Amino acid sequence: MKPLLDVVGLSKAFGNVQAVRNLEFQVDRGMIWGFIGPNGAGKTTTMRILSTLELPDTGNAFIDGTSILIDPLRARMRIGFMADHFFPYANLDVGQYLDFFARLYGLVGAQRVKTLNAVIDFCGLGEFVDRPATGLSKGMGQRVHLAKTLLHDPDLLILDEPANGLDPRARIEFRDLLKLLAERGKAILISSHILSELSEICHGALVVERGERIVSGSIEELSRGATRHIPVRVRAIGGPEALERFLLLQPKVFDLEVRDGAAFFGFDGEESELAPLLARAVGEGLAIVEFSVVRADLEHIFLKTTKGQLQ
Amino acid sequence: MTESPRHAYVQESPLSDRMNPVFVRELQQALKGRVFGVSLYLSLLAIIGLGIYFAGLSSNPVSDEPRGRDAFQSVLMILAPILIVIVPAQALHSTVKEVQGGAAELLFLSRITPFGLIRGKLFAALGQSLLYLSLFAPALAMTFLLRGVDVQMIGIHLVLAALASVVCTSFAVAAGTLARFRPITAFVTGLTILALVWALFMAWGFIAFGMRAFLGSGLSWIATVSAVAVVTTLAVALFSVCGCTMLKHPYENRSSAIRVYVVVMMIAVFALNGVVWLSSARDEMLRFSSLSATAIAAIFFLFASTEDESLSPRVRTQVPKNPLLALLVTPFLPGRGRGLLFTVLCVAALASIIAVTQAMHPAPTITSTGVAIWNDQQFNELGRYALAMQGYCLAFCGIAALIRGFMRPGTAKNWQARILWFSAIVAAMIVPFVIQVLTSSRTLNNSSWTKAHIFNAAWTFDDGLDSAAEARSTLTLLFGIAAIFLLLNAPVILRSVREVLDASRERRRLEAEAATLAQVTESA
Repeated sequence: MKPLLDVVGLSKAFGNVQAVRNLEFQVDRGMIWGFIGPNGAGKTTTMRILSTLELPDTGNAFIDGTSILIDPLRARMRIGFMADHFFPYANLDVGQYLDFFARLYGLVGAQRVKTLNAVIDFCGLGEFVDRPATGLSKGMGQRVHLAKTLLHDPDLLILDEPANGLDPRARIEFRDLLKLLAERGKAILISSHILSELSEICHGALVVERGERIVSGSIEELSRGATRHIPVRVRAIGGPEALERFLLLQPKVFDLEVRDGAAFFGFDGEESELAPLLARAVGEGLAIVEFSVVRADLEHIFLKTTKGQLQ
Repeated sequence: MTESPRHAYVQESPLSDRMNPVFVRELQQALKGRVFGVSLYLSLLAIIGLGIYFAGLSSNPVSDEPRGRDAFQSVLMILAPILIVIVPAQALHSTVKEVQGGAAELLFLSRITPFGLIRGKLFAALGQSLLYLSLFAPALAMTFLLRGVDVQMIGIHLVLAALASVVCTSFAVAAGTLARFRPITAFVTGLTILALVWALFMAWGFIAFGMRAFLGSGLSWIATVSAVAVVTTLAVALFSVCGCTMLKHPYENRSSAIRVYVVVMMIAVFALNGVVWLSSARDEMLRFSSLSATAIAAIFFLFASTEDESLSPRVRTQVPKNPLLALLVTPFLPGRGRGLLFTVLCVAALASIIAVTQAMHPAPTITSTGVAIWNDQQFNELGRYALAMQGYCLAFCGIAALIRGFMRPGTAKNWQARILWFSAIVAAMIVPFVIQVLTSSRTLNNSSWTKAHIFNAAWTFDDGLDSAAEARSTLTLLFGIAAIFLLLNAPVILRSVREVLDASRERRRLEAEAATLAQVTESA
């Protein structure tokens, strides 16, 4: 199946500054893809290009086969772009604000009412529809912003720093909304500086620096790439000493470390080879209660792969 | 999204579904805003005061003079600040907010276009104006009952008031779109408010002094309203087109609408003059129209000639596939070379009208070499000025295009080129003047116009076209300079035409490829 978003050789320069260099990646339906990079890495520029707000110098991007360059109007109907700022209008209620955008997207009559009701409910805005749009908290503002982005039922959501400035509760609620959207088949490209947040919801990530792709892939792939070995955590009843002795004698086991009552090591082999290792440990009489592949978090991947270069 | 329970707040509205969303939103915002309440409250207080005053006067048995006209003027005086300052200022404020905050560009991700946005704002202004006028209806009825004005005059003036409001709003919205350039936003906003206040004083002046003359002039109201409507439409169209251009992203087609407007405006100038001038002075009318159309279009020619040279990838996808059609629309497509081509074609059309009027009546003397020579009476003064204006357009646009050519590609450089062009022309005006003062016994007061001052257009118009002979030599020099700069720009003009034809060919190729692919997929 072809990916929903296919980015091909995207480049963009502002004067002498090369904001995006030959960027290529894909995002499938139902996937949440993190877009990570230091400040000035070209994340916002890329997102604006994908949203048809900027034009690349070279390259193209296809939303389900529709080119953002050749047919931007059609592409726009498939994209929901959530900018990093919410722009409420003065003297408009939340309901009127959303109603305005529903009309802008060409929704009329019963369809408009149905869509508005659905979006208001989905984003939990039922109690806020008659509140002034300018008087909302940051968290509620982002919900309204997201609701506005969902009105035309886009296939691809491009979210630029959506969790910026949200308190922990609002962040958790927002994260849950995104998970729900992904479950409903939306592809989501999300940039954020709060990598621990992204770790929990992203299926994959793209790390960029100075406009260039550093690494991209599923979190598992990135995790492997960041550590070179499969990171494994093992815990046994009766303390880690016996476990440590056993692991030190096993082939393909590296960087063994014992902390918090568990053993951590890198396994230089295929994931399928871990099962015999576990079987051997059990055969040795070790009471294994936990044996898991540790997903390296995005913070770890980010720090490993980027050099902190600014432009 | 899944089916959900209805929120009482969200309701169907078949009437508003058919309206421009921006119109609906702007009206909602305006009616909820404090400004509406305060201005309404204050104007109603003023009207009650007026009512009491005029009721007192009409009960005076000494004077039997009808007071309706004074009362009507007073009501218009109260309405004027609302329609000419408050409504447009609100539109200005909302536009600045939208453009500066970045909300406007996000709106364009939906189905609304820049023109739709501006149209919505103008309709909202018209809606507000009509709302205010309807609220003033009892006061207007009172003016009729007091005698001195008839229903027709009240109607005409109310239409004029609403039109004035729309013109001022379109101006304010166009000015508001300049908020894209953040450093000048405060300056532009201040200047726009000042301009609106100036328009208010003009309106008050007309109501206080001009209206009485207008009411008693016996002018045909149909002709008056029609003429005002044409001028108003042109003004609103100009401001709307400028506003749209500013709202569009640089990679969109920002030029074609303006170029079409210039052509329409030139035709309208001829049509309006044709109606206003006596039919016996047809030649004079044509010359005057040619002169005024050139003068109005000059600024547009300059902007067209200083655009970035290449078509943006998005505009390339909009070039007609038909090569002949592509060639025909070339002067209307963005780009420096095409802008210069557009200028040359327009100027040639306007100059040919002068040439035709000169050739037709009265007949020139044809020399043995075939050159037509007119004497002072024959070579009409208006014709000389029009040709000089057209010569300046060509020469100045040629220079501007050449300057733009020395700069890097990118729309950001367009304004730099315009500023540099202006500086170059000012320098070309000052340097010969300074040289003349320094190298001769002449002073600032008694220096005279020579051919070296050809770049000083104002001075040339004043002293360089006095006699037919002088006009001929001045115009020869001017068109010679224009020809040199146009020749220097010939490569860019040719490149610009070739670029359009290439884009057209590319579209045809892509279409053929897509058709082949579809055929292969179908057969597979």
